Amino acid sequence: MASVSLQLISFSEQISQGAEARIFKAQVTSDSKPVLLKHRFKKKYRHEALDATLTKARVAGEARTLLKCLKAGVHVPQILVVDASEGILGIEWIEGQCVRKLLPGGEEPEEGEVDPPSTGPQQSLDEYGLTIGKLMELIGAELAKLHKADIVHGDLTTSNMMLRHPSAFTSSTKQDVPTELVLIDFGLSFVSTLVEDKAVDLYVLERAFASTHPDSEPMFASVLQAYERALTAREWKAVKNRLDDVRLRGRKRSMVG
Amino acid sequence: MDAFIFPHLSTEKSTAYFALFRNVENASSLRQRVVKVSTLTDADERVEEERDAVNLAFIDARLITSRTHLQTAVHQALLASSTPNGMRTRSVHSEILFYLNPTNNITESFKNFGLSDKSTSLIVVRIGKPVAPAAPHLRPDQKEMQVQELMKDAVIGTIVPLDDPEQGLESITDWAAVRKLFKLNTEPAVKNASSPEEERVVVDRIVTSAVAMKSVMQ
Ligand SMILES: Nc1ncnc2c1ncn2[C@@H]1O[C@H](COP(=O)(O)OP(=O)(O)OP(=O)(O)O)[C@@H](O)[C@H]1O
Ligand SMILES: [Mg+2]
Repeated sequence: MASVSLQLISFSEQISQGAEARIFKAQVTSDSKPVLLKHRFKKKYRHEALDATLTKARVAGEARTLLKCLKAGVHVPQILVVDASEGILGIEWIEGQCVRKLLPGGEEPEEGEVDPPSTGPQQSLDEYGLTIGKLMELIGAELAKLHKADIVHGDLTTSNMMLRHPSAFTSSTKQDVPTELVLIDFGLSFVSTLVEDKAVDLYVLERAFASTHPDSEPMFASVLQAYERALTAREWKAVKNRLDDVRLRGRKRSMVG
Repeated sequence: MDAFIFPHLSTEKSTAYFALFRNVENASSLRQRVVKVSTLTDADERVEEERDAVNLAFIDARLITSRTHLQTAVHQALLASSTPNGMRTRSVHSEILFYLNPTNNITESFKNFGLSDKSTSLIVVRIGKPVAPAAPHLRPDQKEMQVQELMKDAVIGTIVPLDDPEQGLESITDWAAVRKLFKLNTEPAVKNASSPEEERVVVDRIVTSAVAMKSVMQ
């Protein structure tokens, strides 16, 4: 008999197909909110027992980071289903859009996307009540919370951040924006107190901005400004210096190779 | 009566009936009855009926923060019960209590979330076929009635809808007790919440997530 959670997947709609995982939109009961299922499927080329252990560890790792984020007040989806032996993680479905698609240059569908974005009406930042500058502030503030909690994302890109659509966002407190920035995809995340790891995390995002969005320099500068504001002067100095080192190493590497 | 219906589960597990009881009067004698049933052997008289009569999960409603919280615990318990060697306890009903509790200690999960002599608000859950010798071809509404009767026979109290804004869960959850049990008072998300409402949303999201990821907790 196929496992129960695979049965759940067979009732669901596939959203995307990556190298490591397939993404589905599912419902656990007919009247509950949709769930995003991330299925790390079996790798044929990998030894079976090893594959099972690795897959389980990945699911466990991602779930633990999400819980740590929730406790630290970092905006992430809540966890709803875990079946680690099947490689399945189910999280809250975020109604909204990933940041990449809301910024210039990010409209092209990504590799693996089953449903191209062009099927729906083009959403714009206006709809979210944001300017680019304000969005960059939200990103910087969220990353500062993440790093203060000693969590390193490991794969920061504008695809791995989403905005909740104002129609699906209700805050109990008055806020200056009608949306919320949510970080997703913690598959490569880890816990670290090292400044180096945090600086590399930021550098990865800087590179992602540069390769996806034209004229990204002022955008990323605003991200860093907001990040700086949430840190103590000391903390910021350490990260800033290290980020400069990492950038230099990156440039040297690209000159060599 | 209220139920979670999980279409992906096998028929005997796909429906979890539940009811919220307020003003429960017989917690102490009910607890004694449950303890007694657990000591019965197959040779005892009317053992099948007695076991079936308390084959329920009794959950302290004060520690349940939302419908999603309850649903997640029931669903994870069902996933465990559908996996070979997946359960940590002896029945799917006790498995629900295990998933609700923040630690892996089974005795503690009964102590924290189960029936106590002082319980006055209980969520009662029933998974699986109703009453043992029942007619095999009951319509769903007949099954539902039978489960409800079974619950009412066990618990003396008033059934109220879980989502009722005045009488339902919202008026029962003891947020301070939840925060204490899950050690959330010092967490930034809780400390920095800008209003009591936001704090509740945050706590509910954390405890629901904790239930969901329990099997990979550490
Ligand atoms: N909680 C969510 N709600 C709605 N959509 C989501 C959610 N999480 C992810 N997505 C969408 O699914 C895509 C893939 O998710 P995610 O990045 O977590 O998976 P992945 O397999 O690691 O993908 P990739 O390899 O493409 O990075 C995201 O880019 C986003 O568009
Ligand atoms: Mg991703």
